[in-house]
Amino acid sequence: MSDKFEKLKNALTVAVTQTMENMTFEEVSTVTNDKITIVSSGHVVWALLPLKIPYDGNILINASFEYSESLVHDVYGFGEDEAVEASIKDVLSEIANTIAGRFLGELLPAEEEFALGLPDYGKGKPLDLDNEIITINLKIGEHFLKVSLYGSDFATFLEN
Amino acid sequence: MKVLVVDDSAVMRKILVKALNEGGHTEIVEAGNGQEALERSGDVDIIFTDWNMPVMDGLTFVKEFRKSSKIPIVMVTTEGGQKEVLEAMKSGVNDYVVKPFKPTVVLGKIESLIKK
Ligand SMILES: [Mg+2]
Repeated sequence: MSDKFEKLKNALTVAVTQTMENMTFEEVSTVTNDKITIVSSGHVVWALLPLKIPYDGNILINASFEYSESLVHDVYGFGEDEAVEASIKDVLSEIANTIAGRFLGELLPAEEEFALGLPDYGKGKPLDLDNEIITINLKIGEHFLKVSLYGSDFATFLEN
Repeated sequence: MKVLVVDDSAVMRKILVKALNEGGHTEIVEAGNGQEALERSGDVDIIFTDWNMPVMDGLTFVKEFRKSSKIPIVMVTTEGGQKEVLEAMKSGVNDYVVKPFKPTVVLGKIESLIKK
């Protein structure tokens, strides 16, 4: 594996584990690069965060509905009567945004500016895109979370 | 001591409130944008505010608020917004925390800003 790939992988791993531990107050027990299919009896929910500057790309989070729901109710303590869907969207979008910022902060020199786009959210089947660079699977408690980096700019980054 | 937490994300407000609670701060007022923050900032001692918010953003809120108050304001930001941080400091923000933050970082800001 190239040094550059290691650099990308480490930056994303640091970003994902720190974000999840600091934002969900739970220990991240396992990080793997194996393909893990997220099984959900409800829908799989996802958040997509575009990276704009200096690299065009996307950070994608896929999670089970059960995990997202447990974050909303058990971790953040939103009541049963509060809009679950809106809260799940809020949680995943904030997590995706924070991971993206932390990832670029880790990857780029301290003084280099970067810019992120606005998050998109959906549910149903797991989302998959072209130009996948790295996927990191996390086990948090009993739940799995999948975080992927996409973008041809990162493919170029790896080649040069 | 009363803390005002301003963020359009209810989740981010929960995370901040949880951090504040860990340090024993339980008198907390929440606002979902700058406009609400102006209305609810009457007797608070320190403010933590997000930057990107609908209705009234963090920058506008800070500029408006600074016309009448000198209490400490801490900006909550995503990494990489160096220009944003500089602009915020010029507009009257005293300090900032970068997401994802640990509760100890948030509590440390209160300690250093209130003691000053
Ligand atoms: Mg916001």
